Amino acid sequence: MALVYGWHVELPAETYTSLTTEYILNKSKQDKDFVFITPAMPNILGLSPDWRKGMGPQYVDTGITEEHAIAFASGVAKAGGKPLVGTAATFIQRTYDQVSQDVCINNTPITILLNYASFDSLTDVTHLGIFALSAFSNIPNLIVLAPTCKQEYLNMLDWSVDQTDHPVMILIPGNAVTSRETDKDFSKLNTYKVEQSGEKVAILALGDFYQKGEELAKQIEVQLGFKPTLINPRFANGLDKNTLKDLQKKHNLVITMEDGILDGGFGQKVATFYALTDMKVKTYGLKREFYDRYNPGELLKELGMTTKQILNDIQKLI
Amino acid sequence: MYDILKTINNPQDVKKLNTEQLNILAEDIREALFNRLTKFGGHFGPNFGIVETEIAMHYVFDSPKDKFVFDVSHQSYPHKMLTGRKAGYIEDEHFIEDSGYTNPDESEHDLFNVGHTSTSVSLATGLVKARDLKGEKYNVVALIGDGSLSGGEALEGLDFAGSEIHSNLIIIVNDNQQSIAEVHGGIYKNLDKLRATKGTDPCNFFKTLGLDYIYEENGNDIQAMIKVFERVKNIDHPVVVHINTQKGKGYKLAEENREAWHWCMGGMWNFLQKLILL
Repeated sequence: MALVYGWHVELPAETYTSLTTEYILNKSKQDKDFVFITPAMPNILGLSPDWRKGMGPQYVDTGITEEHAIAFASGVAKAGGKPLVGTAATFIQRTYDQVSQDVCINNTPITILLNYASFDSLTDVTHLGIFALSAFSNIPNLIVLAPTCKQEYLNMLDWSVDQTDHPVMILIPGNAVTSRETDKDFSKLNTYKVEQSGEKVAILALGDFYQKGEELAKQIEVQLGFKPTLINPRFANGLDKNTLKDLQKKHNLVITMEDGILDGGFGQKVATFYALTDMKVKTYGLKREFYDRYNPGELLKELGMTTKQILNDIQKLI
Repeated sequence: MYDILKTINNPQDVKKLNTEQLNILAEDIREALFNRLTKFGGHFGPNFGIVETEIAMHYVFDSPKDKFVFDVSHQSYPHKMLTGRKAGYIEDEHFIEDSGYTNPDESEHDLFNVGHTSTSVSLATGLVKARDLKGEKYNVVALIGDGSLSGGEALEGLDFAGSEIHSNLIIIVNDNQQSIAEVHGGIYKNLDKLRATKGTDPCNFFKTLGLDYIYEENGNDIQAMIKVFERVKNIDHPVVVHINTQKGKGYKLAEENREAWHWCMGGMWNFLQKLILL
């Protein structure tokens, strides 16, 4: 309950956007080297005019200038500041070269925060956020992180903004906020988290598809009678080769799930890793298509990605 | 040969030189450029044209405390020679040690690996922001060619500086009336007008964006460049220093064939390339 303009109103429970706003406001108060930068998209991260004013020089709207905003952030990091750049996933496409050259070749430790990266957010063809993961994953030096819940998101933000070794891109989850304890330190790059240890089938559920992975794992136990392994990759663009090798001992099928197009994405990297082995890999994600004004639930069904459909596939494969 | 350049190991050594010695340094640098470029290859015209400006930059400012950001950075060879890397230009066996662009791995005087155009103003504004948040004091100097002004990121950077930066930022616009080929864009009509009126025409693209503005006609005159840099050193707001230089200056063939002499390959290929293009 909250007092809004004199009325008691039931506000929605916290969202990833509201968590982001809170993080930005608190961090700017605690750390004078922190600066939030946006190419004209403060509302996407929930920053109202009053809050922006309160942040003083630690809030920078660069105008509609994705290229400049990214290079600007690189300069800030180079001279010892802590820049966080926030915008919608669809707009980061406008500045591939600046991420690659102004930032990644120079390895400047900026954090890029992308909202509306999920297939379940903006569905207009010209505002799709589903290509960001694949497009930017393959730039060297860039660490792409995919948090799966509230604590993980905030921990990743905390770690990324304060560290000075890597440029980082964080995909804000597009589903409802869930809670569970997670790691706080992500400096051991490309290490997956085995959330549930099992056998036969290993599910690698990336980012905001983690909850789908949880549901699938549960159903496998109920309907197929064994406990599968459930893994939270955290790192969307680097392979945890040790964990993947280890899976070969007790599993013969790996399922990958990602909220983005498959081409050039997470699952294909996993599949390539196992190519010369006996491990079967089935990747789930979106096709390389310009989807337009779709119903996300319907699309999932079309792509064969409902829990029931995946369960069916698994039965045929194991 | 290289009588003055031989004595330069860092920018402090540049500051000790008198007028005559600075002029000899410029000649030495051109000899060294010619040596590396005709044997090893690299950017010819851009570096020949910027010799005096980069000497003056190191004479007046205090790199690495003062921070230089070179656009594309293909024109940073004189700067490299003045910051401890002359060996890569005068001694053939050391050519390989220097990259063709600024490189933080080589020197603290190089802030970024750059190679694509139009990034210098944006990067520089970022340095300014961090400097101001931390309450530090130093000059931030961006050097950008007129060709690179057509790049969107440069326009975004200038536009941002014109309203969002309220502290020291020096943007040197090196106008040599040439991109790799000829320049294309409406902005060049304004640069033409500014040069023709020695910077006094009220229709001024940079002022329109909110930037302070100074014009220097003699970009290839060391004393003139030292004077203009002394004028803007420690300035407390963004200023564009629009300079007029000659691409390829000091080598007649390069002055007269600016497109062909933008870049050259080393060795025999250099000779053949020029033969074909002429």
